[in-house]
Amino acid sequence: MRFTLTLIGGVVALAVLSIIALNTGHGDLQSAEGETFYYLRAWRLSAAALAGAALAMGGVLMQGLFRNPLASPDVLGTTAFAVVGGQSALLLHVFAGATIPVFIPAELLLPIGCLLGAGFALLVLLWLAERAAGLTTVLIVGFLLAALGSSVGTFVTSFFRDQWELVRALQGFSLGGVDGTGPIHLALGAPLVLIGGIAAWCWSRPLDVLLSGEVEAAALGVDVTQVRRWVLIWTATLTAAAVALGGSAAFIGLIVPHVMRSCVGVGHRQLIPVSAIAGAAFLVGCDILARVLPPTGELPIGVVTGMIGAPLFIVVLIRSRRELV
Amino acid sequence: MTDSDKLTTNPLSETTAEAEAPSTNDGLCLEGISARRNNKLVLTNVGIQAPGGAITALIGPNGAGKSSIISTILGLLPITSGRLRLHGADVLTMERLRRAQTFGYVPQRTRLFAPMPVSQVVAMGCYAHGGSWFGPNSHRAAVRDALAMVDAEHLAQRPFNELSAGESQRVLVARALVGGARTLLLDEPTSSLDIGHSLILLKLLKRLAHSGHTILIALHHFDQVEYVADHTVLLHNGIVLCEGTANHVLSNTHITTAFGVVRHGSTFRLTEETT
Repeated sequence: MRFTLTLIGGVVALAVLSIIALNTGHGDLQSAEGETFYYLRAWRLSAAALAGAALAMGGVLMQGLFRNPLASPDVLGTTAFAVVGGQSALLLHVFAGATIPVFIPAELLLPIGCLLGAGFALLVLLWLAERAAGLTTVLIVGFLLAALGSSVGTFVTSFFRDQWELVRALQGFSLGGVDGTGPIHLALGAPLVLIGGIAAWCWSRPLDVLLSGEVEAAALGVDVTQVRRWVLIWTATLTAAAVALGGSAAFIGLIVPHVMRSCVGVGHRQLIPVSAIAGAAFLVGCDILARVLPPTGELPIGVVTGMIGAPLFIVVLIRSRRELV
Repeated sequence: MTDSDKLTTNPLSETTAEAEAPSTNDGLCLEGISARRNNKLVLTNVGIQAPGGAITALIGPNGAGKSSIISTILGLLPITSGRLRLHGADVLTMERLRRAQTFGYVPQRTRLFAPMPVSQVVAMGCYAHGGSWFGPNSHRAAVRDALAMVDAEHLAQRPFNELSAGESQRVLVARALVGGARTLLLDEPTSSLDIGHSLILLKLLKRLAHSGHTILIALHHFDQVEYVADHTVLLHNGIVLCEGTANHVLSNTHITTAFGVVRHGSTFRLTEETT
């Protein structure tokens, strides 16, 4: 019952926010370019919804796998390397655009770079997960990868200090944003989010049993190594798709599963779909604010999610302290 | 008289049943089991015969190999040599889910990272049987029955993390039973329980053994072993020091070798204090 009500509430919120998003912005819908504005907003709305859903589902998977409500997709380092991949693709386009094969559209360079970056981090993690005795090692290496990715990004950016427009583009990408997304981005991102989401949902049962710990789960019949491997793969897929669609938006993967758990409980079969809807609604809402808050131009979406997510997380954390290990 | 009264008055006065000499086809049989953990030999040529429909207690100092034996039976610790049979059937060739259906496991204690109702915790025990366990499903009746077996039906909707240690151990026994396992492996389930709750749990295990369950339990307290065990195995440094009735196994000669203590009536002293 609570699941149904939460799901309906989430869908209604998403629908309302979508209508607001379509009708909000600096462009005039009644003008001659009105239809174009409408299409542009529809694409960015879809990208925001998909990226939000992907990050929220990634958060559910990470918190379930690590049995820790403070885990988020960022902890794997895949997000940081997806950003580095995207930045590298941007530089490749700027400095070696002519050498890129013509069958790769320029708009796809960035998302493909994100996927390759996340894929690299995932390979390192998987290689380690097969050999590590416990998840703690995977978690520590994930943190290190995240720190490394962030440092590499800053290092690369520092080379182009004199070219301020390029630096601005690189930093803007790392802060996230769904502006400029079009059908071609969605054609790449949507299948990844869909496949990642459905696959994540299929791992609900073993993830539920894992809540009592890896040893007990193994004794109850769960193939812990397989669960670990596939949950890492699907989380990386979801975060790579999210970064490719909307850059890196902080806090969604942390806060949304946390709030949804208090609504529908800890069962992943319920938690994954409601978190997807709530994550989509949250990022669509943040995108609206990113567009309307500054008098001119836009805020990076990661700034808005951070400004809302951080205080909200503190409130939720205080209210549900007993959930913590 | 309440359960706790019974244990505080004289728990040791109850006579433990003498286990009859079991046949190799009856119960759980470990033959020459050796196992390594982190390149260290933790079990060396262990042979144990746990009779069917009875309680076998594993006792020994910390690191003696009690938990390692339970881990090898569950398939969590690979063995380097030996055979493992249950009622004559080879356990080592059992597929993962089949093994999980065969053995019910009760850990020392469980802590979930988020609140989960007791009924869902018990339903985890149905994992190896497949199907769904949330919402309307065929496992609901099994969960109810398992909770009834451990006198915990009233806890079904309580959050698991809010239960007392005694209640949560009973719930974990229900989880071990819910899938229909007839062989239970308990790894020091009384270590965090007070004397009253320990007795309640041990009485429950006795009842289960009488109804035909084969039980292997790791214990630390001698009085609990004497109270509950039909058959006792004393371990030391990964080898079986001796096995038999509790009275025989817990004689001064054996416990001095294993624990370095000497028994004086109801108290114990370190060997070095008595010399």
